[in-house]
Amino acid sequence: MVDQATLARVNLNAVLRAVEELPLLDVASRRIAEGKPETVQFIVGGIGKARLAIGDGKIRFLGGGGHSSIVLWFPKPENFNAMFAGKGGPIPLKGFTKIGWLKDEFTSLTERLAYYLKPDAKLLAGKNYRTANSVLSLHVAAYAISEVGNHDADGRLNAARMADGGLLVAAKGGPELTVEVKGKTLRTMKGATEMVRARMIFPGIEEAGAMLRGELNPYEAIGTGKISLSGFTPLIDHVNKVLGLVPRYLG
Amino acid sequence: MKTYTYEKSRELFKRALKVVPGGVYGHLGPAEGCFMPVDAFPFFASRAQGAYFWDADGNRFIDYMCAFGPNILGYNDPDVDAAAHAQLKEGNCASLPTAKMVEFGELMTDTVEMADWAFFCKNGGDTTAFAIMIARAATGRKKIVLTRGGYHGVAPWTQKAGHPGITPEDVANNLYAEFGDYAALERLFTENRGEIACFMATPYHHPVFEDNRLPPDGYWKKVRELCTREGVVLAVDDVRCGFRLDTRGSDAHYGFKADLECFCKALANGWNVSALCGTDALRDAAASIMYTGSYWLSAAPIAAAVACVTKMRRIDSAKICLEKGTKLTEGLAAAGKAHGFNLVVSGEPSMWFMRIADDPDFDHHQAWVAECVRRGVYFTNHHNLFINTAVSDEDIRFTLEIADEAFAAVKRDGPLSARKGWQS
Repeated sequence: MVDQATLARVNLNAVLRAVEELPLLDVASRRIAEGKPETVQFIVGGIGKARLAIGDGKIRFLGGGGHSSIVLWFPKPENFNAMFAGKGGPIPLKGFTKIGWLKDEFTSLTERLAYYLKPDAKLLAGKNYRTANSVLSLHVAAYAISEVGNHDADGRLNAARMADGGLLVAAKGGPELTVEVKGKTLRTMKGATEMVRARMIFPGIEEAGAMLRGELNPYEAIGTGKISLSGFTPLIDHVNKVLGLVPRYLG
Repeated sequence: MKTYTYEKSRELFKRALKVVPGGVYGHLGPAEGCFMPVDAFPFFASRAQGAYFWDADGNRFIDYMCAFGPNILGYNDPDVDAAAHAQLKEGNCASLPTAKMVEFGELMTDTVEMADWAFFCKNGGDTTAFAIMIARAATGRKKIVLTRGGYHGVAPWTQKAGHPGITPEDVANNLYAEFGDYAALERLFTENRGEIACFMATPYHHPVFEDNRLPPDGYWKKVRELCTREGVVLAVDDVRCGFRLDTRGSDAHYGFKADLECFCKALANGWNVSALCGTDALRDAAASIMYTGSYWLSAAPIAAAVACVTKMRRIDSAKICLEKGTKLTEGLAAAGKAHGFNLVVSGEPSMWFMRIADDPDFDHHQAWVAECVRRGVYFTNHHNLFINTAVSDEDIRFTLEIADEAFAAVKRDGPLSARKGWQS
């Protein structure tokens, strides 16, 4: 069952967060990031706040509220989720003079994200597109694990069985992300953190993307060593149970 | 020595993936966490004999998983297999049971100390599920108490909420207590007085990933008294330990009497049959339940079980397994010590659990097991191991030689062999 509040957290903290990877992968996004600096805050009723700080050729995802040039409000999780489904929009609370930027640059950014996260066979034939899709999908999945583990009913049951530690999810040559567990609460971080106790390693980003896109069967990947698993096995096992729930929210 | 490679196993695995979900599923498959790193392990056997199996590539292994328990007398034991083959010539799966079923029932009630009757199925999970049904039928209660980390099969009620395919309702009547914590169990019984049908546990605690725990002194005696006082059926899941610790049943081994006792694994040395034994008080409840399966009374596996139980009694297989297990595990620990590793052995020596101390993330342990497997000693990570009566002194000597070599490799290389393909 898809829980709307969990879906909103996934959309906010996993999908929207992936925008920060775009300038590294996409020329059009980089151009926007090199343009006028803006900080867009998202307020989702019952969920929380997050900001995208755009400027200097970069985009940074910042958890929580704070100084922002534009504030977008979504009264309920359903409103936020509707925007991601292309069926609704925000209520601007601040930045009325920047509606043009929102409509043009910011919309372009979100469209670029959607472009890379919604592949088709023709797009995937391009090497650069495949790489971008793989990198973004890995980030979205890794951050979604923490949201689903912390908030989905089944995810919480699995998280409650986890010992403290970190699962490194990485592709050789990058990216590296760690799903940390502390006190039954999950948090995804970039890089290999001090808490790493187990590893799920792909030989390259291509294999990671292939598995996340469903092109590579995970059992085949494990059995043939295309995913190398090692370390504190219970952590791998429990996190994998949560990973199995993620498609409910990203399907 | 030259280490093994598994080209044919991998080819078979690729073929299997196309036609079998997961390629190889469950505890025999590479995705369940016992095979790390996977490149150290074969996936398919081609044949087995005595204490050994040969993989699809022709590599020979001394097998300390024993098919995860069923191999107790050595693969293809001549007495057991002769009995099964003789019965096959007479008939196997027919429209009626054969006299072998009666013979097996008589043998089980004569062998297992608590047993007034025996009921035959195919898998261990058939018997644990039936035990729960009997307890509910007899008591009119619905809750059951299990131990945390205990394994009783794969039916939905044995699994965990939040796992694939499991609904909250599947486990809604399950209560859990720590194995060996009598006070917690008593508290749980008090809080749910009149509602608990059954307490099911293994004779000692043999979970995956953690040290196995023997019952504390007096634990089972107090549990027995508690269950009797509260009208709760005491069911012992002896599927894994049964006949390896004691041919009288593991409850007798630990000095108490269960109401129901589940057997499988070692019962027929690999032929497919399981048994639930019970006391007279539960005979009518057992008979009242519609519980059966297509092959449950097939005669050949039952003939094999008769021969196996008879032989286990005759040679005292439990004593042999204890002696061999003790010799092996002491040797393994000594081999570790010689290289500066503290190999912690827990559980009963006949089906011991081992881990390298001061290795909280399992990296050294996985590396050492991998080095052993690559050299022909078949262990898996994080699951208890098994010994069988066909293991010879020469096999143990060879195993210890390999263990020594493997410890030396891990000492030299660190846990890198458990991280093939990745170096941070």
